[in-house]
Amino acid sequence: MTGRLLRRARPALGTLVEAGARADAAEEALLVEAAFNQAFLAIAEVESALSAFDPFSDIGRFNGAAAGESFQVRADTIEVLTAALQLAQESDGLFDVTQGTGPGDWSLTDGALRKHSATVRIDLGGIGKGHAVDRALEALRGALDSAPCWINAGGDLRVSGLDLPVSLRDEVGGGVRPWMVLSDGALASSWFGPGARSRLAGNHGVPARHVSVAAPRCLYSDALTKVVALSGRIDAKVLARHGAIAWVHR
Amino acid sequence: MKITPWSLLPAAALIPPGAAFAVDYLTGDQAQAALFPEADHFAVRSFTLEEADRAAIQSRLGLQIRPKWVIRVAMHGERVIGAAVVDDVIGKFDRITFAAGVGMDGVVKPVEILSYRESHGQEVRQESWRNQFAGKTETSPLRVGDDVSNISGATLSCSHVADGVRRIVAVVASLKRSGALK
Repeated sequence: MTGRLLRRARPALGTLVEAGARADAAEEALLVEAAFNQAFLAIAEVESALSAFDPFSDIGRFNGAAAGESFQVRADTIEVLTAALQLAQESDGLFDVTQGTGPGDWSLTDGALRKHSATVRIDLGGIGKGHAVDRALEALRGALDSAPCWINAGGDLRVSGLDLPVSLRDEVGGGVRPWMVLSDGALASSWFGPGARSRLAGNHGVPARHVSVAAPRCLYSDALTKVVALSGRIDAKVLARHGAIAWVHR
Repeated sequence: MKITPWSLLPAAALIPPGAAFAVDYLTGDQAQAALFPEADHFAVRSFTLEEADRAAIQSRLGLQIRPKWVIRVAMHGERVIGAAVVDDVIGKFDRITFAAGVGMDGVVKPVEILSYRESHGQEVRQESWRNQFAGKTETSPLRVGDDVSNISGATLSCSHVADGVRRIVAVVASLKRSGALK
């Protein structure tokens, strides 16, 4: 591998987000720094549209709205909710952004999000981070004229144009072990179990699981870890439909 | 999308299973310049909080506050324009060195991460291991090279960084109020 590898990290999306890129000449370092800023800006934009913790985001507005209310949402929200709806259908309801509060109680028509019940709440925690990684990677790649680069948002990562060695964390005992080299694709891992940060809707009776999914886009690798964790299956049709490969770690 | 299992790589033997993980992003000097690009120099000064001030911040934030703070005071000519602090926080498996900056106008700058360390969980839980980082304010330079390793894993919470930033913002505000920082 030639060139200098530069990387930068900031807290965002509730975790640590790293941007990395290869610069072939020393004077390119300034360009790369500017491109990193573009990537972090893209992430902030997605976060301001999708965060359930922000009452002024589209999702915060939806959760605070009364039944029957409808309002125009941003392009990021439309993209993620459209994918979420499709994944819900393809996974027979296993993927559910309402986490059991009313999977059929929202609709999206011509960019307007409508709330059909008072109790439904949307949380895009299981898909929004992946979309933010995709958007940041596109911003970075665009700013760098397709130079090799990657984005890693606390373990949800996407890489373009280089071979990135990836280690897998031991979620119970700590430490990492070498796992794979990922080139031009996305990878997400999730741990669902005692003390885990991730929660699954209606996960009573679902055994503790540590799963990973690789896919061409991080939106899908992120979202599909939930489907694999709930089903325990790595051969679901929905995976093949999005070009994804899954692992259930032992 | 292309995936190559580690066991098929010629370098497979280089990293032992269960290894620790480390990345350096910025030095303290690079971070202070990123936080305050308009500063023409920085004065590194040591401050000790008055006990009453320390206790007040502690009870207001519900966080432990140490009495001694090393602050990189951002200067423009003779004028103080802000304060940058490099600090460490420790999470479940991770140690994060970060820099927070507050302008004299009270505006908090975007947080910069200086380095990230991930170890075996059992080390992090040992008091002696944690203590070796107490009060440490410098890190090694920005790493350039071919070490691009990344971790895939469950999302680590950054809430301890957020707590670390709240500490610094409160300490800088207190030092400004008391007239120690001017």
